[in-house]
Amino acid sequence: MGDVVYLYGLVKSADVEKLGNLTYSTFQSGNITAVYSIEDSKEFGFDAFKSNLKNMAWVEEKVIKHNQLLSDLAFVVTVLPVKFGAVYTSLKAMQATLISSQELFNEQLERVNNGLEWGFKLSYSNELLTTYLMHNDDEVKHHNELSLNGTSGQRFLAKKKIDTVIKAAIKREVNLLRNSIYEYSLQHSKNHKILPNTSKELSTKGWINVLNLALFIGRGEHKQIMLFIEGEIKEANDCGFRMELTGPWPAYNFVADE
Amino acid sequence: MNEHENLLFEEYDPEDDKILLSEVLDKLLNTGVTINGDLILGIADMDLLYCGIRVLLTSVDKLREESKGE
Repeated sequence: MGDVVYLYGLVKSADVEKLGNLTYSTFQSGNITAVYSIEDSKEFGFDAFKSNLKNMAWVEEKVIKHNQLLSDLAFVVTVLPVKFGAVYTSLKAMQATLISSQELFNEQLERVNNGLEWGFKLSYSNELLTTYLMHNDDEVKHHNELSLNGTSGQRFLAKKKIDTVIKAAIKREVNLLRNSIYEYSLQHSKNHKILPNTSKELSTKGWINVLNLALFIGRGEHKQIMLFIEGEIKEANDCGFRMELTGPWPAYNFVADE
Repeated sequence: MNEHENLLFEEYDPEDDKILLSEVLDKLLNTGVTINGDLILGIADMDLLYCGIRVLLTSVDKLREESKGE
């Protein structure tokens, strides 16, 4: 069995010299250069590849390698990240695709030129946020106080109403923080995408994801936005919120499909 | 050290457990450029197989998250 060609991403041919010593191969086709590696068809041939995709440990290893290589490239030049699993039978087959879609790839490279992707997630814990509000929100504090120490009538009414008051206070706090971060991020990024919130099955027990953003930020322009978010994180952590900031990533979410 | 190396050391830690495998997989399976041509596995084949990976991953991540939360 022969070897196959695994394609990671595309860069501008004019940028190739910026990459320095390469641990991977490049193939130039006009002003587009493909970054690829030669892989054994015993691993990436039709049957082997299909079977390996059912092996989570194998997928994990390959996906991490793919992402690492693209991230290393993205630190230096603009890269068009290719989806996992673009394996060609030969260099000739890959070249044919590069030639036929050259215009589209050029357009996409321009779209993500000189920027990187950052990920941001905001979640809250119902239990922790409720505890925080019990001590810090005037309305919740008032109702809680009445439900414990009011007259019997006040206790009855306050107990009946406290859940609604807490729910409204949680909604208010979540919206306030979510909107503040969202508005700020929008102002300071070149582009953004609101991604689906992490499903409850994927969330840590009790944490509810309320904002999942992908931000496309110009190189060197990330610091201001990171400082703002870090400031918000410090404050929010004590209140029952959790924020996750990841990146920089290649601009995965900002390139369109062919 | 250039600007990007700076950025790498300040903000990016590959060992950071916040970067869950699910996030990397999600990006590489659902985003990025889809390329056609004479591929070993066509796009339709890959999409089908990715569905299987996602189901598998949901279970793995759930277990990881739960064990962290305990």
